[in-house]
Amino acid sequence: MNAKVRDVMTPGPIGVDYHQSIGTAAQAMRDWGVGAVLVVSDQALYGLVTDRDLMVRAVAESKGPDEPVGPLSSRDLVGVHADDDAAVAVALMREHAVRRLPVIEDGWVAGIVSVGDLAPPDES
Amino acid sequence: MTRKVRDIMSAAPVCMAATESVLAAAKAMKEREVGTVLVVSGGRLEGLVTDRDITIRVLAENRDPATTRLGDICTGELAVLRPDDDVQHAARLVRERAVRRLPVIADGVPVGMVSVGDLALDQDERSALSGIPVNAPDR
Repeated sequence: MNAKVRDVMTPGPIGVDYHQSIGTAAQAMRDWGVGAVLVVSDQALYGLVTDRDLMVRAVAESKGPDEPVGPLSSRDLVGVHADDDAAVAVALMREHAVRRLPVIEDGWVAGIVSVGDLAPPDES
Repeated sequence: MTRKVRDIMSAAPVCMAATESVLAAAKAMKEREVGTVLVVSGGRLEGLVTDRDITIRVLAENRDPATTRLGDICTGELAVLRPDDDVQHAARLVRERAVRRLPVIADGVPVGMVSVGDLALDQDERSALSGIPVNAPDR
């Protein structure tokens, strides 16, 4: 696998603001057909929140859709560079036991690469 | 290699009644660290609800998780497997139906689940999926 991260990533990641609502984040996931959105605060990357995070941290905890999404996000994100080999992304996911990595280019987020991008299920 | 579905499936799937609330399912998925609940009605499989379904069909739609029933949001008309089906059959179904999870049924009763991750692990130990915990929180 000699592909670069940029070749397999989903470009133009969907972001929501820290102060936007949990319901807005859920609607973004629905409307864009994605499983995770980035959370931005003061024009900087704050964290990432997945569809499962919203179920576990909002619905299961009886938090309503009007509360801000920011506090539900996962922080301390591990990023990968767009020019890295895809194998680097695989190694990072294994090492940190995560399924998605923000892709960094020129100091900003250029996309998201997920475990599904790296291992297409159609193998035979 | 004629591996069977029973060799790769996750046993003891979480099953809940169609009349139970989305809130109860969310708590169960969190506690048992699973992403899917099988929805049963009178002992028969009626459908399936995933963690994403709860986010998309309840949270995004502004429905109340405490009063919305699993039967109202579950995905029905599922393709199902039997424990003695070949793994290749499971892989074909996953591709044809474009689904990520298939329930395993024996004598009408849900006995397991097969996910895309289970299949990828079985087909290629060196794939990107191996080494990443299949049941790890999705993040």
